Amino acid sequence: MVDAVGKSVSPPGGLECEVGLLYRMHAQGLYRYAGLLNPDGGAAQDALQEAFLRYCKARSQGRTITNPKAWLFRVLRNLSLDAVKASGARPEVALDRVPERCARGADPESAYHRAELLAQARAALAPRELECIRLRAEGMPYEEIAEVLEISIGTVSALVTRAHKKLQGVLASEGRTAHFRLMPQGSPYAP
Amino acid sequence: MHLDDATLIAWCDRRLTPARSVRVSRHVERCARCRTAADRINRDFRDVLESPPSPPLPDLDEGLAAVLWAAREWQAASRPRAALERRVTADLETYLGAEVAAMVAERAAERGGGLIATARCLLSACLGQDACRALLESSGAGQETGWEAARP
Repeated sequence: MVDAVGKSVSPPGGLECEVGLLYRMHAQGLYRYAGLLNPDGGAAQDALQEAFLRYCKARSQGRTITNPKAWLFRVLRNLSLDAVKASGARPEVALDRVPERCARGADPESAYHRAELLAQARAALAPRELECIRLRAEGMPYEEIAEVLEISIGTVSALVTRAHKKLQGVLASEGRTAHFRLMPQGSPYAP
Repeated sequence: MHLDDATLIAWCDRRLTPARSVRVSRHVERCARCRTAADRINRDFRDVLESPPSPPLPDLDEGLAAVLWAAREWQAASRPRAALERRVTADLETYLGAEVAAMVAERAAERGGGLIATARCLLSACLGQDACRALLESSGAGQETGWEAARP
């Protein structure tokens, strides 16, 4: 909006509209990302709210934020890592929660097996590799991922490639091991 | 000839040069095996992220309302404080010079400790406690600095 003098003025409630739009667009993705950094769901929600509040404060103090999405993800990341550090918890997903839902494929045995392997693959990934593929899944280009993690674009690319290699290494045994699992214990054909 | 996984990832993520990207697209269009490989890469990434599945955000509307409410509270609370801080800065400029006022403001912004608390901390070190207290009290910031609580 522009007034008579040509100076830019924000419309009444402009900031609330802006924040409302950003919240609807990114809250879900930010929450997923916070859940990755801090498995405590309550803490993830707190971090999400605090990131948006900080955004409101910064904007109402007149700061310009050129890329709100990357800004929010970066602030959320720092808040979550601080909270994890303060609580002394480990920022890794508990492995005992793992194969609870695995609807892929008609064969429950191989679906269960895939879920198990995915959990193994996930455990094999370094936290930053996991963060990269999470942010990638949120539709971020490498430039934005680099901005959030405060690393170079080349490093983002290396992390994604390495994550995929690890994933392949674990999932390569998918068909074969599923077969072995069906055999009775002590079978002479077992490896 | 088939494409390797690194190339397929770069292609999916639009990291290839335009010329290379066109060549890879043409190949993937014709080659079922590379198409399957590209799909598998994305499926594996997605599945590993959803193992265990990430729970959805409980209530979007409620969350947004809470943020906006907290922001309004903060704005209302910071309005009188902002006026007080402007007054303290103006008094510092008048009595101690613009350089000192700017130094206090810069330090407060960097450390995030609040302007008045920073002024109190810096000025009592160089002016002495009494002079500093008198100055801040004359700006109307006596209570803000904690002098009241510190009195026996």
